[in-house]
Amino acid sequence: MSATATARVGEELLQLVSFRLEDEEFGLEILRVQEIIRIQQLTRVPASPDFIEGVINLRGRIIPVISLRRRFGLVQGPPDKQTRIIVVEVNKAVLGFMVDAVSEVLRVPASTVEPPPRLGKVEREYVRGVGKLDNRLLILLDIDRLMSRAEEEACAEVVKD
Amino acid sequence: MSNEMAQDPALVEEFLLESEELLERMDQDMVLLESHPQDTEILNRIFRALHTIKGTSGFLGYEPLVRLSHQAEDVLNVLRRGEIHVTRRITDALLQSRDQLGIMLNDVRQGGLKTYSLDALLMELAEAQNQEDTRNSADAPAPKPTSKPLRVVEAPTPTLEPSAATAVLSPNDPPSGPQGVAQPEVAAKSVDASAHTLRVDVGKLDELVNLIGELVLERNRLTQISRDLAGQQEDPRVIAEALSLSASRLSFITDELQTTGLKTRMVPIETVFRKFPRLVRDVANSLGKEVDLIVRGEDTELDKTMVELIGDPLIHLVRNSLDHGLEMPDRRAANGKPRKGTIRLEARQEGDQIVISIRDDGAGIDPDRIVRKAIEKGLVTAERVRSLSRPEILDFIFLPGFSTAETISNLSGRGVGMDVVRTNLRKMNGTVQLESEMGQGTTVLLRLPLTLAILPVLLVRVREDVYALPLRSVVETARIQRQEVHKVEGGEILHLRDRILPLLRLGRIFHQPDSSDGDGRAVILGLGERRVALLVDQLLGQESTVIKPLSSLFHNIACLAGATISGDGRVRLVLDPAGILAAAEGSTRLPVPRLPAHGAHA
Repeated sequence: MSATATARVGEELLQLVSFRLEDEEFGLEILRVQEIIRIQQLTRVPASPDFIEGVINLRGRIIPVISLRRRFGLVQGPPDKQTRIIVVEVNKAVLGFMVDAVSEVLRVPASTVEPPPRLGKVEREYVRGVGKLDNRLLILLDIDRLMSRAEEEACAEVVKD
Repeated sequence: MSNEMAQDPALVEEFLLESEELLERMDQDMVLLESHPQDTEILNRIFRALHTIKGTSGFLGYEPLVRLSHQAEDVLNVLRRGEIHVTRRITDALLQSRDQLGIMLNDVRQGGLKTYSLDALLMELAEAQNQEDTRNSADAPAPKPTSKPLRVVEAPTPTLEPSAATAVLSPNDPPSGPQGVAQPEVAAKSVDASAHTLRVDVGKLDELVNLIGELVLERNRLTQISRDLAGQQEDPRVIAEALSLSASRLSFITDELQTTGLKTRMVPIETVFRKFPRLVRDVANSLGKEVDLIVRGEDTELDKTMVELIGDPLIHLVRNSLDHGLEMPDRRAANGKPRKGTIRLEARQEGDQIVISIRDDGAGIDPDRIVRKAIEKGLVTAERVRSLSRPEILDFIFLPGFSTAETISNLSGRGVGMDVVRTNLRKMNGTVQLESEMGQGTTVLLRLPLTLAILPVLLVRVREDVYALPLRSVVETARIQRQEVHKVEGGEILHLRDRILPLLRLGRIFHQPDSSDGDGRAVILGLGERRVALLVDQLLGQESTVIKPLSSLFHNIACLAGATISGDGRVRLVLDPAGILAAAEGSTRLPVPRLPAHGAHA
């Protein structure tokens, strides 16, 4: 069952997959999401940037798994039963975002989305807006921007021996 | 001026591919023509190429292409009717036309034809026919290009240098630096743009379709077995046997599918080699050198990606030969060599490798100069140098920034060095080696694996992690004891028989705690003449596996070549021997010496 705010006829509805990081709720457009999987055998890649948890085998493709918690400056503990990997395609590459939990598909009227106010832990530039649903706040992520920045940082890092 | 209607992009793409290929072949034919001016077969080929381009261009409404190819085709017509002879002026004009056509095709690819002032070239094509030049193609090479481009209003001179005249013709020419060199580069680029398609022999595809048919049959059998199992009516042992048979047939079919699939990606190296006759001709002319290019083994097949990656290194190496290797004709004659230098470009298959060699009969590389440069740059001390073998000395050339050219010539010393060649080769899991004899010449040997994808590896365990090492780079493995490892300035070395090798623990590169300090195994990796010992906890055996690239997020990590999926579905990281070697040498600061200079104990 997905929650829907009351909307006027003909108004644009955003379909979002909502997930949780710490005590914040985030939303990702459903069209960007390829699949959602449970945590599986993760291979760590030594000396990789700290926001990369490792790589997994997704039906023969080796894709990196990014810890969104670490990306946002939170500590990433060991995964639990609720941890999920959201597989997306960003900048022509397939990768997975590791999140605390994935809740439901929400339909949010586009009109309720506001530009991001001052936010605590999350970098403002990764946020496209904030959607309101009943009394829930959904932070809409700009994953393209997020990954572009991450790539730049990964390239700039010099790994000494 | 473009008169093109809105074109079907697929049609345009096909036209571009076909025309670019025709122009590339024309390059080769033009060079052949210079040494076989009477050969009607060559003349006919060139004529047909221009004729085809003219026809399709006309159909698509590309006016300038039609005009130019028509005029060039005219010249060919007169030539093949025997009414005039091939002269230097004619071949120059035709090559200029070919280049101009290439530029126009490239413009179409990039978005649309521009405006071109073709009058000078068209006039030259016409004039070249009418004048009976006393020069013929057997004459001495053209005089060196002048520094300023010729203007249209001046009376046409007997020879027009390709780049000089074209500078006037096309507004979108790249700023021509070294004269005579700007053009081949543009020509080369316009062809590389068509990288997404390839020609496949129908036989290979038939094989593929056959195998897929077998796969379908096997799939049906498995479905049946599955039903039987669920139905619980068949004896489980019968089912087990059927399953086993199916599994082994499946194994065979997938192996064949993999091999055949990879085979469809193979293209003859001819597609790269055919650029060279023209390149060598133009560069030799601009340097005032006389060169014969011999090409062998063009039908040797390589994986398409490799063919694309090998182009730049080959161009660099051939230019090196032309620029630094081959001497000026007078100097050669004075040394009792034929005036014409020879460059031999050859490809052949040796077992599971492709070997490409570039050999010149030039001046060779002076090991003393290299040693001097290496000492100057602080890469080695004078004492250590005494114990280095000749191949090890030559290996210095591959270090970054190591150009012994006194003047950085426009052609090859541009900061694109031999280290880039080695890096490019490494990306393809290949190696590069140099052999040279002073006064006699230099040979560069490139070795590439037959296919990119399948890699035999050695699996090793370091602490709890399992890594894969490309088997080709593994020279040997040795059980070692703590006593054989010694600490030196900034690193460790291994004393193995009569050799001292830099030793590396993976933990050090990967910023992890080192493996146990006790006894263990050393895997000796080799690259060219260099060796490094990698300390591991356990050897886990060999495997033939498919290597997959890692996301670009990991590209900065030294020592990782990619990843593979093991039988249990886990991802295993593949280590890069060259990265390990570099890390070891960086930390111990010695290129590999052969014998201990003094006692090796710290």
